[in-house]
Amino acid sequence: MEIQTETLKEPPDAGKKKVIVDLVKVNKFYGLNHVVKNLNLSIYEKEFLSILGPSGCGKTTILRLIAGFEQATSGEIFVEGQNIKEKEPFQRNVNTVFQSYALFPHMTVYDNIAYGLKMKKVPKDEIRKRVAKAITMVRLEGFDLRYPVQLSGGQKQRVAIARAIINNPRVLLLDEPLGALDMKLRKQMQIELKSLQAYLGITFVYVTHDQEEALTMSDRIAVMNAGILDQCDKPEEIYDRPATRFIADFIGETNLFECVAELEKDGIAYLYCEAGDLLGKSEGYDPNEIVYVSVRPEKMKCSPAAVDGFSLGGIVRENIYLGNIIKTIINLTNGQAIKINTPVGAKIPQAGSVQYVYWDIKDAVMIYTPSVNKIIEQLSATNIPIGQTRV
Amino acid sequence: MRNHLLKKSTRQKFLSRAFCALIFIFLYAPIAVVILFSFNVSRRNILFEGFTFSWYKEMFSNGPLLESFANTLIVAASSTSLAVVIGVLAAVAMFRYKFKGKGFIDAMLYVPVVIPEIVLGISLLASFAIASIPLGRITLIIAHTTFSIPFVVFTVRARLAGYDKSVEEAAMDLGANRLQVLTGITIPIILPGIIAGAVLAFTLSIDDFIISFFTTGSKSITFPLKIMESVRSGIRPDAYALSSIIMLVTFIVVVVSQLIAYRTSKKEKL
Ligand SMILES: Nc1ncnc2c1ncn2[C@@H]1O[C@H](COP(=O)(O)OP(=O)(O)OP(=O)(O)O)[C@@H](O)[C@H]1O
Ligand SMILES: [Mg+2]
Repeated sequence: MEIQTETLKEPPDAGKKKVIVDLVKVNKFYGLNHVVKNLNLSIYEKEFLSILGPSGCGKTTILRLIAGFEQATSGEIFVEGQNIKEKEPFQRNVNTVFQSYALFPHMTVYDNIAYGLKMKKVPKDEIRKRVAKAITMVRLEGFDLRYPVQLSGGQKQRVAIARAIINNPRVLLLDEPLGALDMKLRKQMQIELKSLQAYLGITFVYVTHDQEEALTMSDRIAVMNAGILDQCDKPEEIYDRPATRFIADFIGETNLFECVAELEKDGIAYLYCEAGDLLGKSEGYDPNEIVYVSVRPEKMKCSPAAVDGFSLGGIVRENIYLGNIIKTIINLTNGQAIKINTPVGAKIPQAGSVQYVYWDIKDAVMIYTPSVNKIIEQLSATNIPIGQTRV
Repeated sequence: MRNHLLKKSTRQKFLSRAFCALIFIFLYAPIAVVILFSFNVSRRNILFEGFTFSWYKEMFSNGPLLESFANTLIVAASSTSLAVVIGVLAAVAMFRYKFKGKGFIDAMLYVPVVIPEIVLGISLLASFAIASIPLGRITLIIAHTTFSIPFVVFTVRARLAGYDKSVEEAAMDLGANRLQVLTGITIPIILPGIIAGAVLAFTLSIDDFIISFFTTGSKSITFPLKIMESVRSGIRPDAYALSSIIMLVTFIVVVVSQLIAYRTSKKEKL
């Protein structure tokens, strides 16, 4: 069956958006290990929210807190406006699709999917109807009587999804649901999941460590870094305007410069870094403030002579052919390796030649980290020369 | 050349078959003899002199022998049930929870298994004496439960080793409370382990002699004790008849449990 897809609506404006899951100042400790740090996150109705971050940053823990398998050390979690602290997992109107599928091995596909309804004592006739509908929805017709071991990874995945959505949860939690699938099936399931979510109109909280998956599927992405929520925004915002240095580095490939602001004029920020001078967008920096500049490899350029405002010279180490693009690696004087992607056919610099890298000012992503600057402020207040500290 | 190789392999085949046959003869010939002599006309079990069912008839009129057999079954059934309940709960708890002294309890579980039976028998006897519990069927059941528990724990734990805890969370997520999770998810999944443990406990209890010898009173004689008693005055063929029946019962129990295990494993591994 073709899944009926509605055109995706933009999440409504901030004022009209209804919060369905609200995490307020949530902290989670495992012993001394502070796994979730002061998390504030509002998840909206009918939204597809991804939680993205490297392994061990606390993504699964957040889902387990919402589902009720773990208790928050401090802070409150609200689902549909109700504090769920005292509610057992089986009393919460959220359902989970587990990373390992967690299908019941001793039950058929049919019984697996029907389990939630049986627990709720739904009449048999209705169970039969709803299971049949769910089986059609995930395209598993004819597999009713098979046991989980008789299914492929993708089919197991579908059973896990059908088993969760049959209960009409308001929120579906998915923990890396496509992690175990191969590339092709993964891509296909991504599309199916996305259209299923639009069709059902329920909130998806989708954990992944695959940034491409998060960027293509989500309405919003919450990027986690070691237990801290660094940024929660639309995919294009995350990509184009990363809030932190970590995100700039984590999402996509980039060239990152740690710079000191010198002065600003006519919308141009004059900055310098270890390897030399560079330009960025003016965003009202004070002199001596630390600013990170991120430039994507596809936006990076180079020329044999220095361009006005830039003095980032280096030697071309190698040109790597990657099918449709050529990746040029240039070592700057401080050892930093700069990556430049050029389409095949365009002129590329010779390996071993001296080149100066530069970019259009509009392509520079400026990352200002107040906390870093606060430290500098404190340090300068105690009269320690900035040059002697490492930030 | 090829022919030569072929010849060699047939010879090897013959040898390995002959070896297997020898092992089977070694294992099963004594059993076959018992079954055979249970149909023997002669009372002295040296020569087979003719076929008869009379020992089976006699067995059914031998009150003390039947009584001891019934007692054995009662003790085996009770101690197995107790050991299964305690063993399953212990195995699940030890799998699921971390607690202080878990490693110690783990190690202590091996003690009743490796300790010589005679030592276990004496210590149980001493314990009953200290607690001044009169010896009888109750003490017998307690004793059999004691040595059966570790076997149930081991077989259930082996089954739990491949158990994905998240299925329990999934069940709870779908609205099952803790009891429903235990009865509907955990126990069915570990059932083959439970059955294996129960069969072990049952058979161990049925043929236990040493521990029973120490822990039972004169009013609660088990079948092995009875046989031992009669051996002194020479075994009568009606004991052979009863032994054959016990073998049949054990055989049926094992086959049925294997069938159940086969059916569950077919579900999981097909
Ligand atoms: N039950 C637990 N007891 C102790 N520490 C735990 C427990 N569960 C998770 N942790 C720790 O908490 C941290 C976060 O774990 P979590 O499973 O949330 O990571 P994750 O972001 O989901 O990682 P991954 O992408 O690898 O699944 C890790 O350092 C992990 O070791
Ligand atoms: Mg995880």
